Amino acid sequence: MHYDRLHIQELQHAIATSEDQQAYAELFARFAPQLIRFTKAIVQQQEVAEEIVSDVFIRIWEKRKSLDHVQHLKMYLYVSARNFSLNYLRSKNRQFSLQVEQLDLDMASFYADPHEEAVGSELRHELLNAVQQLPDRCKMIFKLVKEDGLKQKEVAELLHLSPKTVENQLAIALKKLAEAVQAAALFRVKK
Amino acid sequence: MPERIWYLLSLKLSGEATKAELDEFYALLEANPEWETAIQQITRYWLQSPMPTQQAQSGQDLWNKHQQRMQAAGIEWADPELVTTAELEEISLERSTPRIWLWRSLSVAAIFLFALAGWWIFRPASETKREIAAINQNQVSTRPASKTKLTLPDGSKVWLNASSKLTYGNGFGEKHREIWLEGEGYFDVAKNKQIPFVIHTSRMDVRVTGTVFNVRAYAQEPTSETALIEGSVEVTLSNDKSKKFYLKPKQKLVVDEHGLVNGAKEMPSLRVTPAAFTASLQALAKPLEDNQVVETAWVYNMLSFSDESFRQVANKFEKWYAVEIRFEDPELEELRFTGSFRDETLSEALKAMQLTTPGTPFGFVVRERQVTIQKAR
Repeated sequence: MHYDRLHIQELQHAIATSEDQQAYAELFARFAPQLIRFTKAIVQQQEVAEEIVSDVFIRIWEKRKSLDHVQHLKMYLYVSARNFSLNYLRSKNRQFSLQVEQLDLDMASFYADPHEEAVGSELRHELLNAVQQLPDRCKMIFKLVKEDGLKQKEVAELLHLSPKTVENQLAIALKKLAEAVQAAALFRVKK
Repeated sequence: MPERIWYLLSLKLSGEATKAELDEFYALLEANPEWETAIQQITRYWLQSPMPTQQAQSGQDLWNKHQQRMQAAGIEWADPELVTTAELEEISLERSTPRIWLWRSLSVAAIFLFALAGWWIFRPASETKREIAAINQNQVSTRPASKTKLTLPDGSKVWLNASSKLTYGNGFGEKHREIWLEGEGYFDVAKNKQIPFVIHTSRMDVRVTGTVFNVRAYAQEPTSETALIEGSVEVTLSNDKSKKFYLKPKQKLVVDEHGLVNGAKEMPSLRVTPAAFTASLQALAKPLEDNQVVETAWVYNMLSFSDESFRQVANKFEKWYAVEIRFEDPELEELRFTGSFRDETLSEALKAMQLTTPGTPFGFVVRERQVTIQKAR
């Protein structure tokens, strides 16, 4: 998350100019888990998601010499994963021409928050509940910004939504969460 | 509550807010203080990284599978044993996970913690060290009110507290294990007798071969500390390399830039005064619970202090709540407090401190991110 953008660019540069395998492995370690999570939300199968993300990274290695021309590597990885996922779904089901904004999302499995035992505070418990209850698309936008560290405009681009829609969905998500915590806090005071 | 605050909050959380938008956000928040608790809970939740789910595989496992697929695609790979590094995850802000993890590590390694400040600004670094720092450096830094957990290339783990910076050169883990810290960190150092792990700070260097420890060293704070919980560690003062200190468990080393040490009389064993720094050894603040000590409480998302001046407590609050605290009356800075907070808001914490001080000698005003502590009227 706070990994310096600079550092990602350094990895990119090392892969492009000196075929640095260690840098490539670091790039994979840094992004593969979250790309698999994102991909799985689309294709809904763990194995398939892993293969797709592998393919994305194989493409990176094959095109390493031109990697320095990629402006924003992180976004490039996400867009590639999205495109590969859509291609996969289209190849499975030819009569549909699926667009990313029409997809069913499997948000439950990979964007789940940790199951917390009695350790979290009451307010936190309410907060996590409220996150679970967000509608799928709203939750995906929320999680892509929160957990994948994408900018709001990047999420819009990735999901083929207008920037305004992403803004609104995020604001709605935060408002719902705040209201849930607020309600729990008031309840706690009354008790 | 105007709807716009949620939009502004989203910009703030995703790091996209401009200064004007932040100002607007704080003004709205100030006008609607009843939402402070909710917004703080959301902010904490936001800063927490996702946990791996049960199905999630380890990075190494994914990497191995990926290599097989690469080979199947006909790609020559020079080093099939190459190990992935630089896995980075943010610290869980809840206490459970780091605690479980920590106590497991206790059995295999010693724990020690220490604090240090401002090497980047003050340290008269040797040329070679400066080179390592300047060329190919990797840097991880944290913002106010956020924490990060990271794994270094040698497998050592670090929790980095708020407003801190960690820097290391390429070749870390293979050719050297030297690291520069500004701020506070809690380290679990992987065992490696051949390559010692050295932490450089403005006032001291700490050398270990395999142990766990925490470091507090903010440039703007007058003292730096190294406190050891278990195991052993060697500390060298930056301004006098001949002075070495070997800490025993439950001791901490406090280094002061001016030779002034708070509470010197409490120090049981050792006090020296080299040219510019004073170093002293003292016992760790007494345990809170479960062998926790005040010095490491932040790892469990607890803000703790033990018989510390209001100014020292305020320094911790500034990082914890991302605020600036100003005292109208310097006398108030000398009030002493012992306590710990976890989920409390800043206002709740200050109110609790008011309540526990006889005569309630201070009041406070929170204005945006500026807090003023005043004499009670």
